Amino acid sequence: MEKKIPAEVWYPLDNAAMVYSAIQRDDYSAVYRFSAVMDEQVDPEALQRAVNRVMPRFPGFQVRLRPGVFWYYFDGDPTFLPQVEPDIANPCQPVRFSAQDRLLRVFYYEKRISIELFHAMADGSGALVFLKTLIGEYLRQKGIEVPCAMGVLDPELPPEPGEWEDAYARYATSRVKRGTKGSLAFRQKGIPEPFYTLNITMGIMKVDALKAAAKKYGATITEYLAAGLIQSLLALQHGQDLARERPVALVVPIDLRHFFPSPTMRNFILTARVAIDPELGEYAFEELVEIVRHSLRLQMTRQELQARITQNVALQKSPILRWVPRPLKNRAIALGFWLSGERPYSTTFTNPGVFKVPESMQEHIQRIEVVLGQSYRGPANCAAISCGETFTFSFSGTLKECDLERLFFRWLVREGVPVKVISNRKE
Amino acid sequence: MSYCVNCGVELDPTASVCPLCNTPVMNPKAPVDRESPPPFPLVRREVEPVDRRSLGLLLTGMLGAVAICCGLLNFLAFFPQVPWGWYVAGAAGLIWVWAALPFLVHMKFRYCLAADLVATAGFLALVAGLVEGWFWYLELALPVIGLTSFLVAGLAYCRIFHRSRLTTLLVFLGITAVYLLGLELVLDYFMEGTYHPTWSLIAAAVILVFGAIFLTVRLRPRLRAEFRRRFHS
Ligand SMILES: [Zn+2]
Repeated sequence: MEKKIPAEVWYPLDNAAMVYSAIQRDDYSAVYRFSAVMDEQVDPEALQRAVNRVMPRFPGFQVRLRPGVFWYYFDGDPTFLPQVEPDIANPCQPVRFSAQDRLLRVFYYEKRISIELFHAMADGSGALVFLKTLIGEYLRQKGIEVPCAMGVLDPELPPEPGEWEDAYARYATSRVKRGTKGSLAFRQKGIPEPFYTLNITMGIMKVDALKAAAKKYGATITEYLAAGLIQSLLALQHGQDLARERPVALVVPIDLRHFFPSPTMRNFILTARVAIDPELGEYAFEELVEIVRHSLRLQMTRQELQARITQNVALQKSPILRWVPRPLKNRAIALGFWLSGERPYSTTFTNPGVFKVPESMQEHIQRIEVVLGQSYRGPANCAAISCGETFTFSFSGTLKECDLERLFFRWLVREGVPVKVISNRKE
Repeated sequence: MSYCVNCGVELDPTASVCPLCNTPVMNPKAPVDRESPPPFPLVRREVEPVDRRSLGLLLTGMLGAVAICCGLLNFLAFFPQVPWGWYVAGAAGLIWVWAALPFLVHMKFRYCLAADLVATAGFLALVAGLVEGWFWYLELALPVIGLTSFLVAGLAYCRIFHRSRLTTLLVFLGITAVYLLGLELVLDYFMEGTYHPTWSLIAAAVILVFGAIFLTVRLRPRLRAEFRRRFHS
């Protein structure tokens, strides 16, 4: 190793991290989980060895979040190695920004290896690099040859500085600034579960069946499922017999690395809003697919995205906001997020895409799962990911009711996609 | 391999009901597997709740520092003959009970309210003692505090028990009427020594009329339906 990371290292938060740390509360958990279901029981000791070997490659995850006067900041701690723990029934517990509580957790249960990350550290893309590297190293510990390719990093190599750059700041160079707005959307209502419960309902499907169903409408899997989700939300709202129906809107995270090259593993995402107003009349499913497709593509232009990045970074750098003490500023950011990031949306739908790994790894992984933490007042959030032949779609929320889940999976079955459903709900 | 007869989705062999619709699994060929581990763990664990005491302690420190500094400034430097430091200290104590105490001690709402009222009364007593005005304290301040606590407690009662909107409105109107009547009584005795109710009677009469209408509507289901039809928006 030629270059060592100095012990006294700290990072300022990037634009998204600033928001996630401001909104983290007991009833808003900006923590998400990726799991890999292996082909046999997990060996916790081998997993711990793998964690210990992999962590130094990811200095951006060896951090604590500490309060400064004006901002939170990441405080580097190169000695931090997460302790592998038995998994729990209520995942994605909120994090505390204390000296003890860490922002990365590793769990095991039967055949499943799970990692949980606080969203301020990294987005799904960064977390998946970590998961690939960890699983690769775990399999090596079990005596399987795994090459360091396709996103599996070599834990022997030193970390590269570009991997922890604030890519927002780099690309905030647009001449125009642009914000987003949206009106109040339909929100699922229901009976909340007791505190710190997270209900997960997961559907497991075959990628081919899903692809074939999507192809009937000339759609990608993401567009197809987003349209199905909107249709289910429309039906859910319609069943409530409201005098006036609110728009149904999804928030779909966009990975900005596709538009602006960056090796960063920290946050580098923006979101798109896909909305349907039921007051305009009935929509056929084909029409929903069309709207989802065009709406997503329209929002995913390099120029527009750059204007939004510039706007967000300018807000962070604005002299007024900068010199306000942190507790006050966080209230303001949380309020801003609630108004522009929570109220205009019915639910989140994220699809980080295909989990591609070398063949020797692939054959030991049954499936990959992704679960999002709870949002205010707990309507279910949705996340999907595929690995090899298997596609998983998860709902996670804190409501007792599972009407949306039922509508959605029954729709898929009617479409001819066989679904296996598993859940952590108490029977 | 079992499927839900309602949803058509495949279920885990360990599931005894469908997670989507709660329909029990009845498959004579494949009974529920009660031996294998379920797909998700059953052990619950929770992170500790946020320690809000640190905020309470911070407030305590700040208020205490303000009170002590002002006290010292008062008696050592500025106008030692006028005891203004006591007012500051009293106000700091009042704010402490209102703002910091709920963070330090976990209390039921009614005890919080009681503590707030006692603190308010205490602060006013301090002011009364300093300006030798026990007369207004006993005849005006204490009764008004009592009346206000009655109003707040009544409103809180309605909110806690989630009565229907009409009931809440009725209780609110009733309490307001009593409050206004009481307020005029206290004011009259304080200023003139006699009781000549005027404005509060008018307000109470108006409230009574509306209250009677709402009460009738509340009690008669047919009227209620009619009311809904005519006033729907
Ligand atoms: Zn069912």
